[in-house]
Amino acid sequence: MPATFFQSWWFQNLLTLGLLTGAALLAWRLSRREYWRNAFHEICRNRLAVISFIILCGYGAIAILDSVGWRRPLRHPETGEVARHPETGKVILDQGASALDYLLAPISAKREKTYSAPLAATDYTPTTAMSSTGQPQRVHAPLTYPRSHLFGTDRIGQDVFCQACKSIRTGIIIGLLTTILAVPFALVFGTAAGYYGGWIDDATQYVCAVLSSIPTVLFIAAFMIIFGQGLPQLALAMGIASWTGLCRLLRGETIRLRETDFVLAAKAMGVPSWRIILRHIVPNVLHLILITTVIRFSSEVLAEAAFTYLGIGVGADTMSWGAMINDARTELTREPIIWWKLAAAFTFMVGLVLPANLFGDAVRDALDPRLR
Amino acid sequence: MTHYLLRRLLYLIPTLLGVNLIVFLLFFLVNSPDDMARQALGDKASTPENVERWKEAHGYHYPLFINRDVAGVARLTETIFFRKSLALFWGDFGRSDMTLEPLGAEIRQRIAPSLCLTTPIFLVTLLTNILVAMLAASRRASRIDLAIQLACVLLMSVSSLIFIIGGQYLFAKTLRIVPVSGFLPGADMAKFLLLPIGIGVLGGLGSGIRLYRTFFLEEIGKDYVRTARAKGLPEANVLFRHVLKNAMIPILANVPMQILMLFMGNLLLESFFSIPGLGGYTIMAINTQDFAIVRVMVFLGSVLYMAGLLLTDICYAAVDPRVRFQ
Amino acid sequence: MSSQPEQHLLAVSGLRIAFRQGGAGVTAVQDASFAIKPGEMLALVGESGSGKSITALSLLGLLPPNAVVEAGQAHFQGRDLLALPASESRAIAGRRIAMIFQEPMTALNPVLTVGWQIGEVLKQHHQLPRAERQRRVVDLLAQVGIPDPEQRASDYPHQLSGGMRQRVMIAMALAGQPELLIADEPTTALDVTVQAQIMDLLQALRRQYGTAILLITHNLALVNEQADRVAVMYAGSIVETAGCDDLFRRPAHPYTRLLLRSIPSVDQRGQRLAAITGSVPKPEEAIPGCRFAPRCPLATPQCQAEAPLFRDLGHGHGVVCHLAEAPLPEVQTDTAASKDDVVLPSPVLQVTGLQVWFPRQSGLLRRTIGYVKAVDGIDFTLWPGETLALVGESGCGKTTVGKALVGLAPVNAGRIVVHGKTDLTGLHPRALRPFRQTIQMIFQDPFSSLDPRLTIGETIAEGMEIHQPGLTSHERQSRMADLIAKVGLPADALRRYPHQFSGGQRQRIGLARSLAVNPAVVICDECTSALDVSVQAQILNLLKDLQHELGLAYLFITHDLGVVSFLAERIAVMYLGRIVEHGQTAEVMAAPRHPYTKALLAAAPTLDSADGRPKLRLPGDVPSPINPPAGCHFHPRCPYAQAVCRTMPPPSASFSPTHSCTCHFPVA
Repeated sequence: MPATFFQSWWFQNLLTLGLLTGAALLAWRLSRREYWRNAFHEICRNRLAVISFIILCGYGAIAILDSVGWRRPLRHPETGEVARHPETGKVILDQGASALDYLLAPISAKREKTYSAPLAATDYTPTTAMSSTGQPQRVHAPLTYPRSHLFGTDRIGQDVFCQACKSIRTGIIIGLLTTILAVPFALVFGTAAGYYGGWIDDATQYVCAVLSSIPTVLFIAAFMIIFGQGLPQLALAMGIASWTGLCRLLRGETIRLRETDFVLAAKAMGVPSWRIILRHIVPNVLHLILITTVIRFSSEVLAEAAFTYLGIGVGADTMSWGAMINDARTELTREPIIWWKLAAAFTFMVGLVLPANLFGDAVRDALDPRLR
Repeated sequence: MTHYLLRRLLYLIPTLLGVNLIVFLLFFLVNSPDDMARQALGDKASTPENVERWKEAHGYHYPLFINRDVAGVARLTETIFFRKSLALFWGDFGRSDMTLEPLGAEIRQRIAPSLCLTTPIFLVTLLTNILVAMLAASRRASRIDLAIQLACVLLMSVSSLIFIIGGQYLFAKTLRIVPVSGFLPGADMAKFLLLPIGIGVLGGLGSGIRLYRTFFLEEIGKDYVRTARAKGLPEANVLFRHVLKNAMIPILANVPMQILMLFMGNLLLESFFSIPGLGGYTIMAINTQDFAIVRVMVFLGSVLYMAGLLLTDICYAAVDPRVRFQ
Repeated sequence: MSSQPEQHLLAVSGLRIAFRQGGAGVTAVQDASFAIKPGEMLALVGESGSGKSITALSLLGLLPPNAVVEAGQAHFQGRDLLALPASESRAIAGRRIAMIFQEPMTALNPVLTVGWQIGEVLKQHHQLPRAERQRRVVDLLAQVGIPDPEQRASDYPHQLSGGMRQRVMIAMALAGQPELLIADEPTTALDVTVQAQIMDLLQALRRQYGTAILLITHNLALVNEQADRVAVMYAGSIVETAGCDDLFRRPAHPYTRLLLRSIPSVDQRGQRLAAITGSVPKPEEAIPGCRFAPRCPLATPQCQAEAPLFRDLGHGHGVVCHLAEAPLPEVQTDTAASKDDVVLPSPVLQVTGLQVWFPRQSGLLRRTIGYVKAVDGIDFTLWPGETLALVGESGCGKTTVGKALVGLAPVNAGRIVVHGKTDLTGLHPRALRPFRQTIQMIFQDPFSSLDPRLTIGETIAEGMEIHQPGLTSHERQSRMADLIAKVGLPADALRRYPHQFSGGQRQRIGLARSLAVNPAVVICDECTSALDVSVQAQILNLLKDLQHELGLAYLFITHDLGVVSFLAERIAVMYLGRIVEHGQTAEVMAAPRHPYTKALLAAAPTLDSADGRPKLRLPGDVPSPINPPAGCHFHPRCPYAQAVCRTMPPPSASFSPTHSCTCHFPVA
């Protein structure tokens, strides 16, 4: 398969669909188990958690819209005629854009010349113009699209609100993918080390000790300087750096479960080890995985911003809140200060992270009352 | 106890070897010296001769593991693995890829400012976390407890970048209480470090207090607390003499996690406040694509982390008699 | 109650305690009244959830944050304990009223030395200077019978044995020189020989200082031997109060009468126990009228409608019941003949020379430096349809024997032969699998023995899927329905989850899981010790019924001699990994030959009057199997030990074809 396939919209749409189907399938399986149904009802009783969940769903929907896309025929800018290949007559397609891009198009198309404050009608910095009497004077020129930029525009006149929206996908992908990448490794090695003990345990423990003794930020710095900045690289690096914690958690819980009477009863019954792990251990640690995923989500989102700011994140090609804050830092030193890019990034981040924290707490309390 | 500490100490050696191996894999197998040279020289200047010359100048012209051109022990020592990776163990940090300056002196110079920044952050955070968490736990479900928990969630929801930018803007630019950035050794240090330390502490409070609160709640629910109360002890005695000493065990177990968080804070703070420490050095190396510095910093980071780990183990044994009498 | 409050040290009246759950309050203790005279021992006895511990905790203001005293007084030395401000309450706690708890390991602070913890009381209440304090601490430790008190004072709790820890707790309680000592299940976590030591110590101190003791316990036999007066609690209310003799000779409340009959003992052999149906109600269950009515065989419509009032029967005997004097229905006796002398077919299980050694590792490289000989060469044989009891204190290796038989512990040496043919030791796990169904195990803790994520049906089906793969899903379903009915559970139980069942019901489910694979031997590992007495009786009856019906052989592992004498045909007493005495239950119970067996029988409290029994008290605790004493393992605690016992392992001596013991000097 050509490498370009992996960069095509086809692949990305399929991947999104696959992930969504997987999530739906898991939710359906779990909904048939009473334990999970009870936990769900428990969460539903917490009004703050429900509101948080609705907000998170809003963010999630934007991220999904930003993950599916398609290419459209290239049209002549004036006539609107569909462009065709001069020889084959085939319709020529453009680069393509995500569904979110198409939705935001009415706003993002409203380009200004440079900075403008949120919902302003005129330019932020005055320009010198000739007055009707012929005297040069400093005026705030009216904007091309007055009062239409919720979070103002940046140096090259792009709408900041659109940038913040486009950054949502980056944040959510990092927040979720990091843990999702870590789960298979942590689950396999954690339960195997805990259940079998012996050299499997020793080896797993050693690998965990080595990986976790490299400070995360330095490991990611090394990883990113070698593989280059980018969203997949960052998710992979953060996944490698974080699977050890989950692995140790699962190992500890497996060791506890291994000695419980119901596992001993299954052993005495002659149930094979792999079947005990699948049937008794994994279902009894699943809640820990879910708790870890939701609790970690918000800190991963925050970490992504910091990494991107430090130059070891998703890089300049991908929109992200970290990049926006990085831009804003120089803007803050201008006089008068340009504050809205920072404000937009801050608002969008808190809008995601605060509900994520509240929802995460509710999930933890519902699934594992011991930790309350 | 000596057995315990000795075993912990001995376990550090294979762990550090593992770290060393990972560093080697990343920096020399994934990204070969040729790649490094091409990256440093740029596409246009990357003729085979230039690449060879660059490698020679930077000491990357050896084979990776075994040098078949020489005899004896040198077969193993005249290699990149030995000279660039194992050498880190005896403090031979080599030279910068960009400026060819020796790294050892530079790093030694930069350790002090870094420690001056992170040690107070660590200690103040630990103390604040313990006190506030104990207050919240002892007044469980009261208004104070709920207010503290709410404050923690809010603190956890704000990026540390915002704290830094906001703090600099408020205290340095608007109120002009402290300088915006910079560093001077000696007594002037306090003036420069006050704000970064305050911000560093603020960033660690939210999650720390919440975690410690669960530790304290766990301890307060235990039987020995009931015994202490049945003795007729005042509540302050129960909390400070009985609960605190037991809660220190999980708190100490969590200290390594906190040390790891310090590295992140250190990088951000040093780069924002222009403090000439190791974090700022790492940022500079990332921006100039200086592999040698990043390589050394990763290794040094784990060494520092493990030193912290060992200190924690000693404290652990001091607090918990069950470990001491093992 | 003939109440003369000025005579009483403590007089509690009309105590009501409620738990706040969400918005609603749940009453945990309802209108409790009792009184203690100076120097008296009052026992507050009840099953789990009766509210006895909560009652005691409320006296010292130690209730959990969600519990509130809603009404009542507790007059102590002229003051109402329940109305005192916190500062005055603290001046009484530890000084006038001291308390000791069930679990001495968790009740002591693990990171402080025991001397420090005792000295703290002296500092708080007597303001003694430091040097004086240390002297007193050593005194106190010596007084509670701790050898080497100077050294032990600087020990940490984890360095002491369970019995020693409880002695430290008592020393801590004595430090304040209290007038009243509240002992909350003080011996429940201890072995029976250690329990006897601790109770002796408490009685001695009571005589010496005239300290009144409020003993809180679930153990009626212990109460019978120790207390002066008894208050019986059920589901949050005191249902009967009486002098100790009165209560055990002339119990009035149906609950008390049934409870006494449901305690297994040798007298009930061959009968069914008078199990009380159902289980103790949870505090949140709303029951109008008498709270015992739903389980009471005598209950009338009046009982269900209106709560009974306290009735004085004279002589300080009072009862809260509408029909205290009505006769109880007779228990049906077993029609089946006692099997003690039935001719038996070939044995189903033969164990010879069984050894289970766990390696001990130490040093930097974790080299094996020795072995914990948990089971050190034991032999026994089990015939179909009989019950062999394996008796011993904690750490004697009895549970390890059970685990070794079902392949959960590694066997070092010895043979485990099933049906006289196959030796299970040394079989490859895969080859062993078909034989796994022959021996099945029921576990002690009903709450951890079922996977919380699986339905009861899935749990029971698991073994059938392995051992009867040929069954169709329909056959399996109908067989599971049979099983669940056989153990006395409703058919819809199969679709439900473990948390919806009570402890007794879960043990029934565990039994059904084992029976699903048609075992010949069922190992019952303390399977009733976590249950309330009234529920234990149900399970014991069920075990007997199933044995008759299916011809099962039971290996009953327990520390409870009452259960043994009721259920078992034969008994094997274990001490430090070896069987020290083995014989027919009747023989061993009537004429124990090994000093250890004799001491064990003497230490176990019974419902019969204690006066006639010989007093034989063992000093010290069970030694650790890591480093067992040389010669006879028992010699350091044996009152009859001679020089030869310290060097030579004892020989085996037979007294009848069935009765043998390993001792140099068997007791006559």
